[in-house]
Amino acid sequence: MTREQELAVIRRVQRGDANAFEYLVAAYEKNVYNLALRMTGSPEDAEDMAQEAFLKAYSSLDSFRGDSKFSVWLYRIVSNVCLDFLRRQKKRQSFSLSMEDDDGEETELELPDLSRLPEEELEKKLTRDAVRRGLAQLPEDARQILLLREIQGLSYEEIGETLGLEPGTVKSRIFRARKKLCAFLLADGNIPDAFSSSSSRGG
Amino acid sequence: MNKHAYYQELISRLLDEDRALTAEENAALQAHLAECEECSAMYRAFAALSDRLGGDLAEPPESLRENVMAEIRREQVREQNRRPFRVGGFVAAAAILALVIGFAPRVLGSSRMGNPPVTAQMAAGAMLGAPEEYAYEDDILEEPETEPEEASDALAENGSADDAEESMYVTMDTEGAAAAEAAQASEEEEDDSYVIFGVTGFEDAESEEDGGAWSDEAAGEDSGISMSELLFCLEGSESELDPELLPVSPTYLIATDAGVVEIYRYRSDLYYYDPMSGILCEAG
Repeated sequence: MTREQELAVIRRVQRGDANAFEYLVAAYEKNVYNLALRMTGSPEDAEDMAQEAFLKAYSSLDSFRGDSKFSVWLYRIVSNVCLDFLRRQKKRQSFSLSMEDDDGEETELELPDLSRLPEEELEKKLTRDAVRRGLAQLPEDARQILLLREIQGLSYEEIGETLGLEPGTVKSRIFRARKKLCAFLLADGNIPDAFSSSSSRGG
Repeated sequence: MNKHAYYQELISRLLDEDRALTAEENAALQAHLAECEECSAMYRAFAALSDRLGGDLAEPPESLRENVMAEIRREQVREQNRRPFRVGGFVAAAAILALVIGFAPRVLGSSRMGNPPVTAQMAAGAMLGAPEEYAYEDDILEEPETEPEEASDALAENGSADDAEESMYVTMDTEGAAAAEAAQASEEEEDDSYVIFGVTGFEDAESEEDGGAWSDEAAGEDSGISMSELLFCLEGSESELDPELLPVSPTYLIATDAGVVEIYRYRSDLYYYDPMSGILCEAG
């Protein structure tokens, strides 16, 4: 679907052709579902959240004016639906390696020393499953911003639009999220030895 | 910002392909990666994370789309029961006129339809599903330009009558008819005139600031209903329907005690839909 076709479909839905919404569901269900899957970590929850997000998108489609990409608009909904869900659940078992200061900004993490990690080792140990387990350990907001980048492929600007952040802030938060993920993988034992020994050498 | 932080930022940008590095930045980064194991390892780790996170997306369950669309259709029915012709998020600026007309009996020459009708207000209300909320003026509809006697073979040219029927089944607005029927069953017959109500005066959907306002001026042109207005009204779409599918929706609905009769205008001719035979019959 080109962007023009997509806008035409959206206009049809806005004018009351509910059936046309199925085109949008078909076009985005995979990305939406996978975003929800990585956010919630459970296929059942992911389906529920994806459904809720699509229904929310449908009922608020009139507020979509076409000045941003529909995908960006939609992912914001998915993202928020998942965050709400996770916060409601309150059974988050993640732990944070960083403390938030008074301004709510996280203090910098120590960069784990990755230098002794041979490439082959990385390939072997860093399985998709391990990464996903690590992802589940991330605080939701870090997970959200990292997934918008890695799964949905949004640019810093688009993520900023989605989350109401400056692109520069987006960049540094993604960077921190990656570092955190590495740290969790380390703590989890998914990447033993090589990551863990010495502390970061300053520069 | 220390030296590593600078290169780590470059790594982020490189991975995210967001703003490409300049040739200078790229050269500096490569040089640094070659000599700094730490940054080099971080680059590898981050790249590996990206690789594991992206790609390899799971297929969503089929039930996702089915459930979403089923819920949306349920919601739409609920909406339609609450508000007339809710189009998207706004009520189209539209006028629905209930019109008692003189030519109806002639249009409906067939004995199948020769039955006492319900009142205009009742029928229109039934179609809208909200009779108590709107008042209708009973106007006398001028006989349309159409001369039923001169009906052409437009439908026949376009394919068999069965084709026409099929098209109608695809897109026909049946909810209004069903509602009208239901209302009819519960109401007493009040007079002997036939009731026909047309749909007119639709403004473009863009004028949504006026949403919900019924257009009085447009309502005057009650005999000049264009097919596109009709399509917009009944289908929520002005131009995207395949012309092959015309006639798509009834131009008029006529309520009789035998049910609601659908009148279609195709080109300049009127047809009624005969549910017994399932074909469109020329009216007149």
